[in-house]
Amino acid sequence: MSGDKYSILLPTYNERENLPIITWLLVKHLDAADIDFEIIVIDDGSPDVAKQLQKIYGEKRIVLRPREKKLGLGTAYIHGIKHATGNHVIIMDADLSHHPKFIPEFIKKQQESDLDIVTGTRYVGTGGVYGWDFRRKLVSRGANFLTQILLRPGCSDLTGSFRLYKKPVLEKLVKSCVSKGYVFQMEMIVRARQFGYSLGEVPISFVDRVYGESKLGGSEIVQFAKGLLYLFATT
Amino acid sequence: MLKIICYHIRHVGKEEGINTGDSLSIPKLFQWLMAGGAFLALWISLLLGYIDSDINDSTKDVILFLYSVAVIGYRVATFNDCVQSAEELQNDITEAKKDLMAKGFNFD
Repeated sequence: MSGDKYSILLPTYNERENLPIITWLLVKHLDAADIDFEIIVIDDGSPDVAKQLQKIYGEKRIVLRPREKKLGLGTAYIHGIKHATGNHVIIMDADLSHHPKFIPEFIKKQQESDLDIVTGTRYVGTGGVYGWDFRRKLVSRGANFLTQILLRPGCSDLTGSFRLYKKPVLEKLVKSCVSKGYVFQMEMIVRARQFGYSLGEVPISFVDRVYGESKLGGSEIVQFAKGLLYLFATT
Repeated sequence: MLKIICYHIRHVGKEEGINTGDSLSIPKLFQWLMAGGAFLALWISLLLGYIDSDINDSTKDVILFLYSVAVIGYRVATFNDCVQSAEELQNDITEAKKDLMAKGFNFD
């Protein structure tokens, strides 16, 4: 082992069903790869579930840091980082669309050239999605194409949220990003480029199981367009 | 310019004993260099306004539009469907539930 420790931040909203599964998968795949880690659950919805997991896996591995009230993703990260004891932080969705089996690949990629950020990408190589219809794919590809032309970010998946950061890098980025939702993830990468951080990519499969609930509606598209223009004008 | 290159290849080719023949068999490397060079020259001169093109702005818009449609269409068509990952996840969920229950976890 390299002495590196990885803090996995799980900002969850009503993931009662998924939290035990994602925890189990994290432990399985990270233990198999001999990786030192802790899981920081930033959850206010299901404390009983998290406590049960803590009983099974121990308080060192499952760290519970509920927030007083539901805030944005950025504040969830700030809150989580404060309690992180690792020198690297991994952020991912807890709804099982991001599979923990990719984390060892993220870590390998990071170590190869001491990268500041490694991000999962759905758009390159073996990466992809499951559960998206033609319209969703079209919107996603179209938005991505436009973003690539306007921002030239040097990153193929700007709106993805499965990433590994060096802890100080994430701290600095979170503090300098003001956007919300999708755009927050975009801004993180664009600002990272501004600060000159190095970045690598790992192809991931994104399995959308709650499609229908998380449909990409008109308001999301408007929010995205606004965010894109904001970043286009300010970076 | 193209004429000069062709002339050059034809004659140099003869000198070096390469069979250029009547059909002018240009090596692949030269074909690529020629096409690439010609495209770049045209592109850069258009970009910097060295030559006046009679392509008006609306035609340029159409070209840009068609290019975008082609690229996006291709990428949508080649967007991987991760069916295997979805199946794998289903198996993982079943396995995780079984193992967690064995460890005393209470799903409610």
